[in-house]
Amino acid sequence: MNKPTGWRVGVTLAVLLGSVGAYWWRGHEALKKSPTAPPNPTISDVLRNGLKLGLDLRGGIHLVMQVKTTDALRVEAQDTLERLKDEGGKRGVSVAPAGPADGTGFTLRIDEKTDAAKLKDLVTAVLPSNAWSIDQRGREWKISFKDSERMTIEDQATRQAVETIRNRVDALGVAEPVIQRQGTDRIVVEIPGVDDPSRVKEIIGTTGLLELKLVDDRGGPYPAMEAARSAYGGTVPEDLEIVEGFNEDADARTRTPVWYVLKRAAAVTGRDMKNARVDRDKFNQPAVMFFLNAAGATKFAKVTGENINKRLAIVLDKRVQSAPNINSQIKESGIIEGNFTPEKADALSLVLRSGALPAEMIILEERTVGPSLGLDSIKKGVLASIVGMICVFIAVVFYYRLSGVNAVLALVLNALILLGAMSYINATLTLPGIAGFILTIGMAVDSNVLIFERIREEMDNGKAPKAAIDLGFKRAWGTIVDTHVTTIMAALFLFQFGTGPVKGFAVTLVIGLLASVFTAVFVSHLLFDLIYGPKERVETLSI
Amino acid sequence: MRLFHKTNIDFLKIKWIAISLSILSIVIGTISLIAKGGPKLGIDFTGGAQIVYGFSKTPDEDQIRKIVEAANVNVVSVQRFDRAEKNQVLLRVPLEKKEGRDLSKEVTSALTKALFPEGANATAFDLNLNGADTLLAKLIADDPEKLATRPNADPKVEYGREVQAVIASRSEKGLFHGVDEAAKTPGVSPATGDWLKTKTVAGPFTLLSAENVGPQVGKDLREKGMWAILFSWAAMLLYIAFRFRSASFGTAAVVALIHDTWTTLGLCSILNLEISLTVVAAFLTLIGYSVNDTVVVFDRIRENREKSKRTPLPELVNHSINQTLSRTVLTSVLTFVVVVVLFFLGGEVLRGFAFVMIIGIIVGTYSSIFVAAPLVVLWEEWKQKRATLKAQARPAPAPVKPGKTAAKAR
Repeated sequence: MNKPTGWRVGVTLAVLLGSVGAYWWRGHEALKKSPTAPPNPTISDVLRNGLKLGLDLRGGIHLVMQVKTTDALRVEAQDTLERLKDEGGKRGVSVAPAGPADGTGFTLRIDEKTDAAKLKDLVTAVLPSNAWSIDQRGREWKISFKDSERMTIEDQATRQAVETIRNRVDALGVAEPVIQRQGTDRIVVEIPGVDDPSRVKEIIGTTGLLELKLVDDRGGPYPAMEAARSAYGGTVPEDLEIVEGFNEDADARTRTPVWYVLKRAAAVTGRDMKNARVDRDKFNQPAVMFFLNAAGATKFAKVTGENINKRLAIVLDKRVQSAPNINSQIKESGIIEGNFTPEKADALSLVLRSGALPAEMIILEERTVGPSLGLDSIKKGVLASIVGMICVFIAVVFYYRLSGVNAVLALVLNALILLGAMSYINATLTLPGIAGFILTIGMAVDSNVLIFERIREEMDNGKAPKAAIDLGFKRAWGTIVDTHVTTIMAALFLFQFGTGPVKGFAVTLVIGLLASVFTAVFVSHLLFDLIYGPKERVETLSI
Repeated sequence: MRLFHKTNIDFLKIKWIAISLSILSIVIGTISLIAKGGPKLGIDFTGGAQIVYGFSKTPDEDQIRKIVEAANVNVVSVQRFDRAEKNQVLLRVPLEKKEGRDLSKEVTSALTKALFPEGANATAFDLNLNGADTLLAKLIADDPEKLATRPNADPKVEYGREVQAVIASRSEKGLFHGVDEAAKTPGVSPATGDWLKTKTVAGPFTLLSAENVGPQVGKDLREKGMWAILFSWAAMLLYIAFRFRSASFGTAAVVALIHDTWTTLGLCSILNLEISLTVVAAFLTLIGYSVNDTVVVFDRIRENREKSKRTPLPELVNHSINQTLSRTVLTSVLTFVVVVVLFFLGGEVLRGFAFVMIIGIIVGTYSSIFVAAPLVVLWEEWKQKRATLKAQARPAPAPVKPGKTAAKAR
């Protein structure tokens, strides 16, 4: 006792001011960033913006998506096969695939006419040996991705998907979206303040793969898939494929499903796209107009010039949108028709502008919270916090009298530090986080209880009040460390396990408990010293 | 005020009763768990969908079920959510075999078609189903205030403020009962108000929340949750064994911990409480809390043991429990009060969490006094007995060994 109190008062005040200041500063920053903030923010505006709220409180959408990386692998295998065929054509080596390429690679057929040695030369020349493995099994050569190459392609596909989704979300113009990769092929998307999940999912989840493919000369479209197959004697050749689409009746304005037989190789793809915007089709319905870049325009002009009076199918995400006749050479623009609403046309043009996803996306998990539910949760959480705190305060003051007031001050400071620290590190407050806040108050008081009970015991053992205070703090310290370590350890496992809201709970709990070590031990001791220190003799303690 | 002042209760006297009681509660819980095929897991772990709608009038659950099932969506249950006057309905949809079906969209459009046919029209703009950004886009496109003609007005900011006001007012009310209500929002200009009245509609329901968890994520979370609990048990065992330099303390604390977790889980199973992510969070918090409580008693046992090495262990343990009794009870009561407040005021989402904490605090407090401490005594007594038996069985071993055993047994 009678230790110097000056620097300790200084530290306490600095922490108090720092916490309040951090919160205040963060509130101002958040208001400055928000474009729709009121021009002259009031104190309550600042206070309301000091903490970053989780999606469960402010409303928003949380998506976990999986990139179907086999798509990307298949495309890569298919491209490689085409390259091999092109190169073979130049060298006069016939390359005969035994079937379409898939996610593992492709198979070449060897027959009597094949010059195996020449083919082998060709394959080794075109395919880098570090990416492909060749398994020669008699009449079939299985050419497949090596693991390292497969992983590289998967990684690239996921990275590209993250980039594409980021472009699309940015185009939505919402504040603070989170787009994060998780593991090899998962992407987490969090968009706060959006309460229209269908639109967001449509924009994010649409692959947006645009391909322009020639319709095969033999005719079509066919009313059923079987009809299309039988027109080719059961199976369509390797270089053709059957794609579903619509047949439009200009007079009746109806669209019925039909099947087209198209060249498998696309004349132009969305990769050569420059821009896209909403326009109107011949029925004055919303449609999307696209523009090609120079490379695309060259290819497009060549294809359309060579195939006048044939039909060109506009394929979006593996579905024929329309198959107009090529009347003359077209250079750089085209129109995508479909039964679009204005919103759908708008979304599609956005998707095309931001580029196609490298593969199809599957939504694994979706959580949407509307803003009204979030607001309701905030109100309930704040009420529960205040009532919970008041209950604890009353109980502590009732039980420990003046020392209880000391504990209450420590708890209030604890709460302020918790809010300030959360705001300073920009931690997210979630609904379970509010529960963590309330629980912290209940658990933080434990340190005070441990100390006060110890002081009482020391006094029972005949120690003078001042000595009892010092001894109480000293002896309770080891136990306080143990209780905090165990609780914080559990919270760390919680953080490891949890998703957004639960992580928020763990963060709140850990910060609150760390702050309680400071407030219950350092600040409470200081308060005792300030009250009883100056007195010469202390007969009794109000405890 | 002081409760439990200088108590001297013989807690160890009833240790066998307490231990039997604990075993009984664990057995009952386990029977319930087995009979029901494990704990009742929520959609976070099983996969499936859960959609909450708010209605403007008292909803008819049967009608909703029929509408949704007619739209080819399976329904597990349609039940009221939150307080009755809020007119909220929770729809549960079983796990789909294929990932990625947009259930909330299908259900919403089916409900719109049946309950609000004018809203199903492609040109209708339902204020209760559209979000802030779609409303803003539409306002900018239609431009009722003719901002485009004014030189220094940014439509995004001007309309953005009005949209925020409208959506905030909707959040406050739950949903709009008519477009007039939206037009009357403070901060909305007369031109925009007129636009809202003529160009938008207000349907009879709004989407409050939608969760759809696929089978993969459910499986991942199930595994992660289980590992988190198992690892935290192991971590507690290691920490306490290290802190007290004794396997008996570590084991006793962890047995008490497993006892608390299992009893609470059993009770959840008996009461049919659904295990969601937040409930698992409560279990992990409970693990921290339960060890926390035990450690305080153990700390005191260690301290007293150093002070008076001759006192027999049972007496020492009893004394330590009595010394820390008022702290144990007071802290438990305070934390208990807090979680009870949370249970009643914290809302639907936190109720399961608060419930597990309520049970956990009661069981945890009980176990640190009646399970953990007696186990230490039993373990140490058993070790001593074994050491004496060994010493008797081998009367003349090498001179070093008996000394070592004796030191250990002490």
